[in-house]
Amino acid sequence: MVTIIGFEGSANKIGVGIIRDGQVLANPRHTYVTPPGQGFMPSETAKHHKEHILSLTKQALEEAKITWQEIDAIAYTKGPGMGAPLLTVAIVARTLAQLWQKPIIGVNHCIGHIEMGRLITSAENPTVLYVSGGNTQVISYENKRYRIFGETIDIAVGNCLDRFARVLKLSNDPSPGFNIEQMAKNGSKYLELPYCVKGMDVSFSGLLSFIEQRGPKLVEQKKYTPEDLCYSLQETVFAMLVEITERAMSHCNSREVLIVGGVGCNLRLQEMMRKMCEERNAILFATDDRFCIDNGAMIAQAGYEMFKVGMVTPWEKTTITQRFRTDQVEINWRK
Amino acid sequence: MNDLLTAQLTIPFSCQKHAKIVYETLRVDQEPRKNLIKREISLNPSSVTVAWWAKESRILRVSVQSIIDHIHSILTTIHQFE
Amino acid sequence: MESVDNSNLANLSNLEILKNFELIKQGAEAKIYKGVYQNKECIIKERFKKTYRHPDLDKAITNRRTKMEVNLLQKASSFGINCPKMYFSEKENGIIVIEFIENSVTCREFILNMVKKNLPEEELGKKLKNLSVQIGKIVGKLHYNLIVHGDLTTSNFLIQNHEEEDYKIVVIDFGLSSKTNQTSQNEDKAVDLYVLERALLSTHSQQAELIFKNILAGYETECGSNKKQILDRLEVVRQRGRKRSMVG
Repeated sequence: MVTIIGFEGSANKIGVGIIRDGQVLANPRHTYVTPPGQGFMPSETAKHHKEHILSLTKQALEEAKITWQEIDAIAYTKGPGMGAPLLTVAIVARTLAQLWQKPIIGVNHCIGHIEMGRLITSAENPTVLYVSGGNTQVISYENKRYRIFGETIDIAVGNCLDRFARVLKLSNDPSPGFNIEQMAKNGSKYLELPYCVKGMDVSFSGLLSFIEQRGPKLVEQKKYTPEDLCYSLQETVFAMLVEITERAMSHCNSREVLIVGGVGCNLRLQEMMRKMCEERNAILFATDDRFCIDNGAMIAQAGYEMFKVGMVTPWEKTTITQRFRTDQVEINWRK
Repeated sequence: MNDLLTAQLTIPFSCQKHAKIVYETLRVDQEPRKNLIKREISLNPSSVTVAWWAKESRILRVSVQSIIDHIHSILTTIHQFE
Repeated sequence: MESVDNSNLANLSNLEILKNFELIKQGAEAKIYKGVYQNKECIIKERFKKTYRHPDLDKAITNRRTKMEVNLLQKASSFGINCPKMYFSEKENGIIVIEFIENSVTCREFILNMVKKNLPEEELGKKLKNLSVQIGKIVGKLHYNLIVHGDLTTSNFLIQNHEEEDYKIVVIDFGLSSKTNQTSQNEDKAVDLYVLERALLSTHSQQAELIFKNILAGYETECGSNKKQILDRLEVVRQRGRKRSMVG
């Protein structure tokens, strides 16, 4: 029996999760919600995490009905993400590792998402679409690495959605993306937006500036409703994502798709991806907001895999890093 | 080296164990802007001393503040989970 | 071969000029058939309807890409770039009929096979270098003529007569291609190169650096006078990828 506690705080969520041999024993989290029109800043976010991390740790242990003595190792997010929030969490993880005298494991956030998705859905060797506020990548496992086949060449899809939500002054509660999704359900008039796929890469910055500039005017002139714009935005960016995923599948002869990351719980994206999969006899794997959105269990799960193959982090290396690419980590736990 | 701003902070702890945890936790991280600020941490059985040399007061202030925040965070963690 | 839904064949069978066609590949956006057109072997590329995307968007994408492909294949050919001849197209149905490149493999397979042979390092290096410089020249020539391919991968170069020393390289799949212009050309070209570099890293990770270095060497000889601006821009594009905040 191996039990791992995982700490995640690379962006605006702070989460503590406990995993025991593939079972999620606890996974509480708290989100830093900013006022409408505002993004989250590093130092305020770090302060938020500091305020909640210890009570979440207690809550996780209580929900899991275990004591700290039963934990085998402590996993924390090493990066990528915002510096100050990452450091806040790493400091607590290091302190607990000494207090409890447990090994410590620095986890790549993106790999946490992938491993959690694989655990929950039992996908064997999927082409992974990783979509969040900071990342947009199409990933496939090959020869001990998660290789990035396609990615955004400018901003992430979640960032594109969030920034448009800010233009419309949508609430950040529970998240701007969720509110765009709800608005889009009531949109029907489609506005053609710049569609930019380059090989297996995508670009969203042109589309974002187009809709940022034209959007408010079109609403003012009553040509489109804000709902129509959310709808058109989703239809366009998700079509781009599905297209590059399909390109990667065709390239790698893959029959499985796994969607992970915060944008991955968008049901319209899942529906579009499912249709694409049906057309090519492939299977879609997706999870809901408990596991798509940043959480502690995903870090615990990646830490679990690493721990089992002896990938414990030497003390001097228990740092954080704002940039940490998915393909930098050697995946010794997969064949 | 005369034009550098300096600061030094010595924090006593109730026992050597706590001092050691604080020291070990803090010594891992490097200052992000190494050419503008230098930081050294040392452990004297039951206290920790942090010393800074910086080119700008703003950078010095940010670093001192963040070290104090981290120490606070470490101590709270110790008190709640020891 | 994959089992695929043949319902779209209805469109094709209306093309009476085509004979004996069979599906050989279902790519991400098109079904590829091999057939006969006026007694010549041909490739038929049919962009099929994608039900996952909005019908207006689907139609716009299919039309634009088919039109561009027809247009730019002919342009590239007129600039002396080796690419399949355009035989016939039905833009409204997203169908193009082009020359079949005989006795060819994709550059991707060509490289993978070359690597598999366990040649002495020096010999492999020489062969890869020779190939890469030639590819670089083709890309340079395309760019010199303001054509941005949009999907440069080793799967989109065919090696004809691959068993021989003087094989011929043919560039295919202009579906994501576009014509660039004076104002945005450096950025467009740099992104085109960046996509190729990234594709190399994911498909031929061990040889990527050597290949790309030599591609650039070949590229520089053909891309025209603003090579410095393009290469500087490539560095900017790379940095954008690296420096992007990865929060969330």
